[in-house]
Amino acid sequence: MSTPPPTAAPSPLRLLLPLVIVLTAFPAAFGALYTRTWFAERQGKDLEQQRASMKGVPWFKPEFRALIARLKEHLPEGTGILVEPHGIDEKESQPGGRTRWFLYLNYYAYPLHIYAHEPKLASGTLVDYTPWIDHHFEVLNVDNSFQGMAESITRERLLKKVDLEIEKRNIEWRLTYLISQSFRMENVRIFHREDGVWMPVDSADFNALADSLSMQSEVKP
Amino acid sequence: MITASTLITLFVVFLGGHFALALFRPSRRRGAAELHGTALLLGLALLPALVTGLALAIGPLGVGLTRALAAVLCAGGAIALYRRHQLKPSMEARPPLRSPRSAEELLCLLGFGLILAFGAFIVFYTATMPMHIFDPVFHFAYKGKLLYSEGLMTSSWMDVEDSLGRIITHPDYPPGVGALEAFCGWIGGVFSEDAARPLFALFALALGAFLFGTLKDLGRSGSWLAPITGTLLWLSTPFLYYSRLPHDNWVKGAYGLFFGPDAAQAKYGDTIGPKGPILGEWSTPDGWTLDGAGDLPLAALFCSGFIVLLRFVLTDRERRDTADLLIAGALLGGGALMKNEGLALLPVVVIAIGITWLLELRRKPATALKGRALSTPSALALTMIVALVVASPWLAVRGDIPTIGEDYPSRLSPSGLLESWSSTQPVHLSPSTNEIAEVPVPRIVGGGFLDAFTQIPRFGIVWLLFLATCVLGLARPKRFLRTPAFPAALVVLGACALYALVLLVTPWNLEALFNTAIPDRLIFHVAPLAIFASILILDHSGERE
Repeated sequence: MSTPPPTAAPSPLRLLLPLVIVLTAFPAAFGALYTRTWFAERQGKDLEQQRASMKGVPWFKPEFRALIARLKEHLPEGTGILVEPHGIDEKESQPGGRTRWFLYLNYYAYPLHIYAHEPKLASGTLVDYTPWIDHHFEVLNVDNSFQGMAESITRERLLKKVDLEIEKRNIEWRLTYLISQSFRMENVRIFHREDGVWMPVDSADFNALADSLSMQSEVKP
Repeated sequence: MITASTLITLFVVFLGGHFALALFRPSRRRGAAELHGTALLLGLALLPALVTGLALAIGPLGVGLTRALAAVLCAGGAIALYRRHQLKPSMEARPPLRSPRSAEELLCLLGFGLILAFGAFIVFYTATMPMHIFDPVFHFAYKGKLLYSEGLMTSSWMDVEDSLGRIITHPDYPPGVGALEAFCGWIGGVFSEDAARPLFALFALALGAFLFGTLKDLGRSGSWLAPITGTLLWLSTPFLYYSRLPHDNWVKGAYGLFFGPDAAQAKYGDTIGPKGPILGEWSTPDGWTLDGAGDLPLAALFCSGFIVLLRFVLTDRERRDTADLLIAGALLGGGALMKNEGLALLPVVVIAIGITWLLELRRKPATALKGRALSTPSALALTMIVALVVASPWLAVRGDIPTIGEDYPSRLSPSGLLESWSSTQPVHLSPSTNEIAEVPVPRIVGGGFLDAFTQIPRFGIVWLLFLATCVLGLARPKRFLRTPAFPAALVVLGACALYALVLLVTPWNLEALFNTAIPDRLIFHVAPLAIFASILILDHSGERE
């Protein structure tokens, strides 16, 4: 590329640079605010404590982190867990993106394998979230609110298909939760599959059951 | 957080980039900023391509192979740097810099100090904030986890078609970002998105160094104004750090930014602050670009790749350096591995360079266009081939990975566009009311772009300056068409037009999409190119025809 010829008029950049310098006030203010916040709230804390101190990030809520730690501690890598909602919090007239606990579980519980009904809808954007919820309550009837005969026949067929899918993937655990912005362990239910039937597992018994099952699977040749 | 694996990955990227640069055997001289910036960008483009290719061929690399690969790349890069250092004395001496006038010198000094300060803050910001934004974690880092533990194309990527299956958001997003994170994980023996987060600073800093060196070379001889203004404009683009203010009203938002949420809460009552009703969670600063999404990597690799290609195309035929095409292709291909938009922007590059070439054919006599080096069409073809080769590990399997809802190529048909043009979507009339109106889609899209272009708190003056300098350039079209600013401006306008068309046909709700920093994140892909074009137009505007 040829070198530009000598110039006559002064470069307009002489006027632009001061303006750019003045406007750095916005990111500089952000930098100052961020640095102050970091010194006040996160300096010297370990990663989990830092995460817990961050407001507005649902997947950093301590109760959710505790559940993740527990699942990862007691279940072997690759264990399949079917995750589904069992109800909607009365406060959630229109469940928003912050209530997608199945997505957060999918990332943070990995290498445990999280499964969902209608995975395409579960993996989609917020536009797909409402149909995914509707699928659970209107088609799968997870809260037993639909009683019609026609729906019941369709549902039975679908559930048989789902059972085969579960069998095929060897999913032994099921975790259900309340659709809510706040994550409470008391709203989480855990089930274990025994002879094709989902048996509820008390939260207090989960650790022992999971550990004994892990040991059994290790003993098997 | 910066760990040993972060630092080792940084060295691998830097030295691996120098290794690749040496293999390309460039003959064009580069200043230190451009040289090291280009090497870093090359490393950031080629390492994810290598990791993706190996993951496809042999599965997860694992700790041993990764460390061996790191050793080879570092050794190659160190030898390349040593040989460059040995050759340095024989290089042609650079002309002495013109001594700037005192006011200008002071401004440049202040500007350079701010560049260093923002560079330091970027490192601090990426190193001290846990990865926390939805897209970086769930779209990008999840793919890193899968690459780290399983490789590509396992059931975790594919099992979304039945009535029950795995969850993977945007499975068809390319794995470049995840590959970089997986590499960092293998180096340390454990996957950690937070250890990889500081690497995203490299994209911003490497592009800053590249812009500095390139604008120094292409700007007025001897002046520091162009490189310092351009680099400062890039590193101080607010959208690098945050995507929204603490309040929709930007006066209140700016107050919150300058004086803190608590002071703003006290001044404006309950409409702002940590628990305010509108943007309540703002007290956790966001920052889409540096948190680990693919937008910043794409912006850095695409813009630098295009500028390198441009330098080849606009150089006299006899002095062209074919290595520039290999570098440009590698950077553009690396961009395509970071986000699908990187692939969609390649035709925009072809069109822009094609138009530039046709205009040059009209302007110059045929003899001036002859020479031993490659012609522009051949150069463009070679660049695109290299780009596709770099992106090939992903392109080879992309068609087999399920897509979820977004099939833009088929939606962008004439009938699809016509249908979208006359359709409407519900929009809230104000953030504080529940009143909803049906608004034509083109108006929503146009409004979104206008809002993004004019938001000084989010983009500074980048877009307003680009518009003004394009008008200035068109006032003297002969000169404008001869400068590198013209094709760069064409790409910026072409990319914005492409993104507007995509938003016209998107299956998603536009209002919900705009709440996730769209279209800001899209136009950000070409923001560095807009800065490059604006600075060059202004810098050369005082010259005689």
